[in-house]
Amino acid sequence: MTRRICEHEPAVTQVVLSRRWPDGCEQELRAHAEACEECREVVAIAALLREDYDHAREAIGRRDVPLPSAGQIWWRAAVHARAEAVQAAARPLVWGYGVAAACLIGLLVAGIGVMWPSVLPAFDRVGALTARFAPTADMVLATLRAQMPIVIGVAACLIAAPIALYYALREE
Amino acid sequence: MSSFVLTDRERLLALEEAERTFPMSEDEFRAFYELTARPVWVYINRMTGDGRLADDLLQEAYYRLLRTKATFESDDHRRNYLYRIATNLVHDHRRRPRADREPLLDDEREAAPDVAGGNESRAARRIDLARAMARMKPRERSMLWLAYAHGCSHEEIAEVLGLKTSSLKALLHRARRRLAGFLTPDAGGGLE
Repeated sequence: MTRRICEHEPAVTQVVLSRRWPDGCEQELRAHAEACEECREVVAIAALLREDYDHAREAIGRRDVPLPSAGQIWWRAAVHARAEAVQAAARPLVWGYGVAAACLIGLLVAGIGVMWPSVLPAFDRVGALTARFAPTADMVLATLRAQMPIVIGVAACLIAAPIALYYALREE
Repeated sequence: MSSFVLTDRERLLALEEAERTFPMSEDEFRAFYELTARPVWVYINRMTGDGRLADDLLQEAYYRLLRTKATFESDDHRRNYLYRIATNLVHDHRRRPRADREPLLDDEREAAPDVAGGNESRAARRIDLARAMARMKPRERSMLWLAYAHGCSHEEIAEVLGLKTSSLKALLHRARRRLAGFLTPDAGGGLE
């Protein structure tokens, strides 16, 4: 069965919460609240919740750990806000380091690429020498020579990855 | 709040900055805190059933209030905003994995002093209420507590919970009916 919402509910609630129920309540409102099923329920629920609220407020004083003072909260909030501001200010710097590192690696790879033709004869000399004693080493050198850009890329990643990982974990 | 390491100089700067950037002065904050800290702590405690968690969320709520860019017409408006922050924090906490949460019924511990003082029926009523409230949905709990423990108006509750005032009356009515149902003697509760 659905029941209507009583328009006196806010007034009845206020009377209970201000501890004027039942003796301090206006006769008319009291008579209504006693007759109205909705308002009787409001009286019962509000009285229960208010009693629990009062008890909980008193219980704060009995706790081992008191509530933090306003000064403590203010201080912590100030320090926290400052730390956040410092972190926010440092964020572009971290990005800057990252970009600089990427540029450095790029320059390194480009430098090796430019110098590569002058390094090739040395490879050939070493290859000729090793071909006499160890044919397998000669094969490895030939492969390295053919795939050199990929080898350099993998080597650069192997060096850069642990460094990047270190900085990422240090931030956390 | 997470912990940060700041130098002493930075800490002093932090206090100067706080006076400039927070939306109220320290004195205003102290006055507001004295007025609201206990009711808000009780609200969070009753919504979570965990005193230590209420301590943490209380601090976080005030911190967020101090960092907000919102402007307030009055202390009442600011208080409603604080309750809204607290409500959101409680709901966020409830969304975390269960292992991270504790039960909602630590009320029994608080009831002990009354039992010793001979007020068994009061203590029993509170335990019944805690059990019944634990069976309610989080939003219903907030609604009932704000309406019947704090005496907030429908407009204020709607503002805190982010609901329309027009729909709040019906929702509150339904929540009260449910709570009354859980509290009736048949259901093992204490509503007379």
